[in-house]
Amino acid sequence: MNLPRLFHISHLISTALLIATPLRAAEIDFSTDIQPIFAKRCFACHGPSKHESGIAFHVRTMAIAESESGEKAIVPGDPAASELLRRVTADNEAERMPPEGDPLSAREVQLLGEWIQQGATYAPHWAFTKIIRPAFPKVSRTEWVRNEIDMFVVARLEREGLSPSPAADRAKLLRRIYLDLVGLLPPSSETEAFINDTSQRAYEKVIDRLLASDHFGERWGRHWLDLARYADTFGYERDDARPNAWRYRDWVIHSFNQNQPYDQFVTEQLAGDLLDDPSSEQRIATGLHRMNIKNNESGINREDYRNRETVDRVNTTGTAMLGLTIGCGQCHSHKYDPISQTEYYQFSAFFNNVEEKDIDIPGSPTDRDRYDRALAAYEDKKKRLESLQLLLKNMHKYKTPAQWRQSVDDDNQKWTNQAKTIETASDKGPERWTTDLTKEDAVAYGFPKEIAGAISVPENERTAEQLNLLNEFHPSLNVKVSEISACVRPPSQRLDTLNLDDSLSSTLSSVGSRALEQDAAAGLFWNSLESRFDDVRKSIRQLSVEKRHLPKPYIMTVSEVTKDRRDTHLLIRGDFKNKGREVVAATPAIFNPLSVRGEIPDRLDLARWIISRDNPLTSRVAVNHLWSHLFGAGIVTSTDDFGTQGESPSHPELLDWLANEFVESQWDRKKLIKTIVLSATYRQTARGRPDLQMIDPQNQLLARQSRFRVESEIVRDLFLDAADLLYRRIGGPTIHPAVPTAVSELGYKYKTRWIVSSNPERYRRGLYIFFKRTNPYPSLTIFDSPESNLCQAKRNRSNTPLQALTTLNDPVFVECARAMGQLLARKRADHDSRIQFAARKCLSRSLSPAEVKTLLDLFEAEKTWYGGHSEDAIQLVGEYGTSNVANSEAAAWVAVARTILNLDEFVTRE
Amino acid sequence: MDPIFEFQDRTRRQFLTTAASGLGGVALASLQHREGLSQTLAKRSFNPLAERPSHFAPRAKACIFIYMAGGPSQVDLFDPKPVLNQRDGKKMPDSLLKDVEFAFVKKDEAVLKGSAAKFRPRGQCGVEYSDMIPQIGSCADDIALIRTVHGEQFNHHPGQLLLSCGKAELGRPTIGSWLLYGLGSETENLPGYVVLTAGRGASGGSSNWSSGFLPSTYQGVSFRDSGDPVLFLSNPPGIQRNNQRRTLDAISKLNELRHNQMRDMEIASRTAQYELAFRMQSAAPELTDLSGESAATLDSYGIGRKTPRPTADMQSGETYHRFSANCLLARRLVERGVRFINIVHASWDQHGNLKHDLAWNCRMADQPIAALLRDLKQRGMLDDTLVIWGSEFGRTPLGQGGDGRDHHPFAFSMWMAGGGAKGGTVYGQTDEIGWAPVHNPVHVNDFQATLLHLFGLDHRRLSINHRGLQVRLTNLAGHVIHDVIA
Repeated sequence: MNLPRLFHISHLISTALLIATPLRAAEIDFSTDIQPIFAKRCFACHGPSKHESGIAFHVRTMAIAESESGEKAIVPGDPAASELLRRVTADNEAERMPPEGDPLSAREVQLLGEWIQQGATYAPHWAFTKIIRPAFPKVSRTEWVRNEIDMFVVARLEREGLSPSPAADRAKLLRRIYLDLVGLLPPSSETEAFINDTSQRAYEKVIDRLLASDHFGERWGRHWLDLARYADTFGYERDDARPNAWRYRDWVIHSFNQNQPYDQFVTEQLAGDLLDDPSSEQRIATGLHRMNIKNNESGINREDYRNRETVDRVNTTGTAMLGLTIGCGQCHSHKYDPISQTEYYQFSAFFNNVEEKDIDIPGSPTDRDRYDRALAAYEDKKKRLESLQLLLKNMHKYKTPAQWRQSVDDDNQKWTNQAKTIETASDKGPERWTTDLTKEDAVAYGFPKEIAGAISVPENERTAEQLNLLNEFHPSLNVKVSEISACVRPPSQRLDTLNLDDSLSSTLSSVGSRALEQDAAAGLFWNSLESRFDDVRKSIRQLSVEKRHLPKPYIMTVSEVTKDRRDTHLLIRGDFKNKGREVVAATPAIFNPLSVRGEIPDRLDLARWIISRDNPLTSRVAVNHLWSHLFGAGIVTSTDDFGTQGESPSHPELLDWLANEFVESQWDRKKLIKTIVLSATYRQTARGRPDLQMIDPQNQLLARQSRFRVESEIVRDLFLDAADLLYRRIGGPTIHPAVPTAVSELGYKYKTRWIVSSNPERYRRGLYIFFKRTNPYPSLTIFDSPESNLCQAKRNRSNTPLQALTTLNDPVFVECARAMGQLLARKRADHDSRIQFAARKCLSRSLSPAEVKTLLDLFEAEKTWYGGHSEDAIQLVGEYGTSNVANSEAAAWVAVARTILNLDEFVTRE
Repeated sequence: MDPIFEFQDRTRRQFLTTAASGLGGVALASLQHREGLSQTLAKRSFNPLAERPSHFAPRAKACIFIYMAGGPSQVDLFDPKPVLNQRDGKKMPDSLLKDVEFAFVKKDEAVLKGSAAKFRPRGQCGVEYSDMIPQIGSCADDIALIRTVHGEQFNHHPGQLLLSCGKAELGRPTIGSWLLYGLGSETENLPGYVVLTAGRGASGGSSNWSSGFLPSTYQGVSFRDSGDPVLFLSNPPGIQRNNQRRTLDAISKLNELRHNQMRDMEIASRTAQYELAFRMQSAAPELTDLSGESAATLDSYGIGRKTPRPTADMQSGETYHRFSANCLLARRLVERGVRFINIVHASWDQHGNLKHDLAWNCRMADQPIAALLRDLKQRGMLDDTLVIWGSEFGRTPLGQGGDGRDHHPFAFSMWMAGGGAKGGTVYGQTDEIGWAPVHNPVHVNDFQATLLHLFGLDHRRLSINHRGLQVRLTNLAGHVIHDVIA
C-alpha cells in the first residue's frame, strides 16, 4: 500500500498519521475540508446553538478565544499548542473528543493539523460562493484524457498516486449507456453492430441516437419526478386518486425529450401561470406544486393543512432546485446555514398566495377525444354487460335449456305478432289506427301512458286533446314496429354476448328439446348460470369504479390569489396559530440580490432569481443531479444538501467547470449529459480494484466506474424487455398491472380499486404504474421507489430477500420468465446457442464455457425432472407453450430464463 | 493474491458454502454505494441487520405493539370518571373549550357524555379497568397503565405518524425500523419487523410500517391474512422446492463467476438475499402452521371463533378469528427471534354507534390479548417481551351525536406489559372529566423514549443524520418515564 506523504505536525498525532489514507486535496480548503468536520462532529456541543465550556467552532473569533478552562482550542499556526488537536487524539477516552461515536479519522486529524498550521483561516462556504470557471489542472497522463472532465479526474488521481481504469468492454459499455440514457436493454443486433463498428464516431452516434429517443424523456423525467414528489393520489387518510396527475408527468417527459433549457424548465414549473399569456403547457408545468400531499380527511383544520402545503412547496423548491435544507428555518433560524427564520418566512411568502386551480385544457382535442372515446367505450361495455345480465337472468328463470329455448320461440312469436298488429293498425292512417286496439294492447306494446289512456276511452267520447294526441302519435308506430321487430332474434344471436364456443352455442340454439336436455355441455352451462350472473354483477360494480378513473380532461395548476391576498407572518416555532411579525417575499440575503418586476415580489421573480447566472447553487445542484445518475452518486454525495452540513464535493473544480459549462450552453441538459458520457472517466470499467478497495471503497475518486442495481421501475422494464413483452407507448393515463388481491384491497375505503389494465397496456413501463401513496405497487416499493410524500433527491439501494421473492415469484416477473422461455424453446439452434442468445439479450455478452455449462446442467436437470412431472411442466409453461416442443423441454427453458433474469448482473448497471 | 482480495475471497467462499449461508455473522457488501446514509451505514458495511449492542443493558428483546387504530374510548375502557357520569348531558365549561379544536363536534352544541361501562378494581394491585375488557383487566398485575398520554394531532393519519414515527411527518422511520436499525435482527429466516392486520387496515396504510428515509431493509413486512403470509412467498405454479433449489444453485454459481470478474461484494450480498428468501419460504409457512399448538392454547386465544353479527363498521366475518390468530402468531414470531411485531386492527373510530361497535371490538380484542399475556408469562417470555396496547389518540368525554365521541389527543390511555414494564401500576391522572392530565402527563414522545429505554437504547443517542439534521424517533423531545419501569 502506498503511504501518504506524511506531514509531521507534532508527536501527538504522528501515530495516527501512520494509517492515514491519502484522500486529501493539495491545499486545505476551509469550507470543503474543515467546516464539514466541525459541522458533523463538533457543532452539536460547540456550535451555533451550544457553546459548552465556552468553546465554539462556527466563527473564528470564538474558536481561537480562550475557553473557560483557560486553554485555547485553536492557536493559529501552532498545531501543537492547540487544545483541539490534543483532545481529538487523546488516548484516554474520558478526554477524547468527540465523546460519542468513533474518534476522528486519521485523515480528519491530519486536515485539522495542516489547516491550523496554515493559519486556521475561515472562508465562506464553498457552495455559496460565485461560480468561477476553473483553470484546467496539469496532468501527465494526457493520452487517457478524452475531454475536460478527465483532466479534473485524472489530476486528482495523479495527486493520490492512482491510475484510472481502462474502458469497459464495448458490449458492456453499450449496455451501460442504454440503461443510463433510456433504461432499456440494447437489442442484440445493435450490440453486435456496435462491436463491429470501429469508426471513430461509433460511440457518439449511439449516444446521439439515444438522446434523441423518446425513451430518454421517460428515463430522465422519472429522475425529476422523484424530486417533484409525483404520485397519482393525494396521500393521507383518504388518499383519493388524482386522475390527471399524469399530465404533469407527461409534461416533464416531453420537456426532457424536447431538450427544454433547464432555466425554462424551472421557470415554467415555478411560475408558468405568471408568464405573459401562458400556454396550457406552461400551466401544466405549474403542476409541480400540486404534487404535494394533501389531506382531504373531513374535520381537519384547513388553515393548518394549507400552511403545511406551503411549507412543503418551500422545502421542495429549496431541495430540488437549490440543494438547500431550507425547511430547517421553519421552526428556528437555520443552525448551520446562514438562513434566518425571518428569511425562511420571507421565502415562503412567495408561495403563500398560491391558489390551487383545476382548469379545462383549452384547445386540447386529443385529450377531449381520448375522454370521449373512453366514455363511449365505458357506455358500450356497460350496455353489453347489462344486456348480458338480463339474458342470464332470463335464462335462470327456466329449469332447463330446452324450456328456455322454447321461451325464445314463444317470445319471438309474440313479438312477431305484435309487430304485425301494430303495422296493420298503422296502415289504417292517423285518424283510424286505434280502431282495433285495446288499452291492454297499448300497455303491452309499451305505448306512453296518455296514449293508453286515450285508447281506453271509446272513440266518440275522446276529447279534442286526446284525438290530437293520438293523431300525433301515429308516425311513432313505425318506429315501434321496427323496435319490436328488432327484438325478434334467433336463439343463436341471443347467445352472442355469452361468447360460448360454437358447438355449445349451436346446441343451445337447436330445436329438439330431447337432445338439448341430454347434452352434457348444455347441462353444465345451465348449472353455471348463477355464478355467471354473479360475475357479471361484479363486473358491473367494478365498471362503476372504472368510470371514476376515466381520463376526464382537466389540468392541475397553481395560480396566484389576486383578491383578498393573505399576509405572511413569521410563525413562532412553525406553529400556524402562533403568528409573529409580518414579512414580505424576499430571498436570503447571503445570495445574489432579487430583482422585482412589479410592486410585490412574486414567483416569477423568484424563478428568475433561481436561474440567475449569479445564483451560486442552481447550476451546481442541477449538474450534480445529472452526474449522480451517470455514476451512481453525485460529485457532492449529499445531492439534497449543499449547505454546510452536506458533504463536500469530491472534485470541486470539476463541479464548477460543469456548472459553468451548463450555464454557458444555455442550460442544455442533453449537451451536458453527452459531455459526461463521452468522457474517459465515464467509460471506465466498473471492475473492482484491489488498490482502491481500502482507500476508496465508495469510489469517490472515480478511478473506475460504479456498479449498482437499477431502480425499481427499470427492474420491471428490463424483465419485460428481455421477454419481448414491453409495450413502448410513451405517456398517457396510468396503468394498473396485476397485483395480489391482498394488496389491492389493503388501504382505507378502497376508493381507488385496482382494475388490472388490459393487454398490452399492462406491459407498459414502470413509470406509468398508478402510484397510490398509502398503498403503492409492491414491486416498486420493494425496490426502493420513493414514497413520494416529500421531495427526494436520491434513492436508497437496498438489497433484501423480498426483492429476491419478487423477481422469482411475483406473477408479473414469472410471466416474463415464461415468455422468455418460449423465445428460447422456439429458437432453432443447439442448446449452447440458445443460452448464448439469452445471455446476449439480457446481459449483452457471451457466457464463458463454465457459465454455459451451469445453465446447460440446469436445463438438463429440469428437463429430466419435468419429464416425470408433466402436470408441473404444463403449469409452469402456462399459455407460453410451443407447438412441436415437449412441455418438459419448454419448462426447462423457462427455468433457464428465470435463472438468467434473476442474476445480479441482469438488474445491475455496470 | 492481494491480501484484500484474499480477505474478500475468503468471506465470499464462506457464505457461499456455509450450509446456513446468509446473513448471520457473515460479511456482506456495503448495502448501498455512497448514499445519503452511507457514512453511517458504511460503518456497518457488512450485514445491515447484524445484531448490534444496545447503549446499556436492555430489559426487552422483542416488542409486540397492539395498534388499535382509530382512537379507542379511554373513558369507557381505562379511565373511570364518575364525575363525568354525573354531568352526563351537561355543557362543558367554556374555559376548557376555548383553545381546542375538534374534527367534528360543534362547540356550542357539545355536551358531556358519561360512560355506560362499569369499572372495578382488578388483581392484587386493584387498578380499575372497565367491564368491557374483563380478561385484560384480569392481567392487571402485569400491566403498567398510563392514563395521561397526549399528543397534538387530532386527525387520524397525522396522529398515527406521531405515534409510529415520533412526528406527524411522512418519510420518517417507524418504531420497528428504529429498533432494527439500532439493534439488528436475531432471526435469519424471517423479517425482523412484521405487521399483522385484522379487519380493515389502518388509515395510514404502509406509512405506519415504513422505514422512511432508511433503506427498505428496515421496513415492516406486512403478513397477509390468507394465502402466502409474505408477498410472493410461494413458488409459481409448476415450480417445486427442488426446482427452486436448483435455480438458486445456478444463480449462486453464476453470481460467483461474475464476482470473480467484477469483484463487487454486492454480488455476494445478492446471493445471500436469495438464500434468505429461500429459507423464508419454508420458515414462514412453518410459522403460520398452528397444528403444533395444543387445543388448550388454540382455545385460549379463541382461534376459530365465530365473529358475532351484526359486525361492527367495515369488519368482515373473519375478524375475530383473524385477530386471535394474529395474537398467537405474534408469540410464535417472538419465539423465532423477530424483533418487532405490529398487530393492527381498525377501526376504533366511533363517531357514532359507540355502544355496539366498541363492545364488538372489545369482545374481539379482550380474550386473545389476555391469552397472549398469559401465554408469554407461562413460557417465561414475558420478561423480555414488551407488549404495548395503544392508538393514535383517544375519544372525547364529550358526546358526538347521540351515540359517539370525537377524536381526543389531549389525554388518552395506553399500557405496556412485560419487557421491564412495572406490572400492577397506573401512571398519570386526568381531571375529573378525563379531559386533560393533571398529574404526570406523558407525551407520545415520552412513551417512545421509554420504549427505547426498555430496549437499552438512549433515545437521544439513537439518531440518524438526515439532510443535515440529527433525526430521532422522539423528535426533539421525550423523557423516559422511569416510574413505569420495574
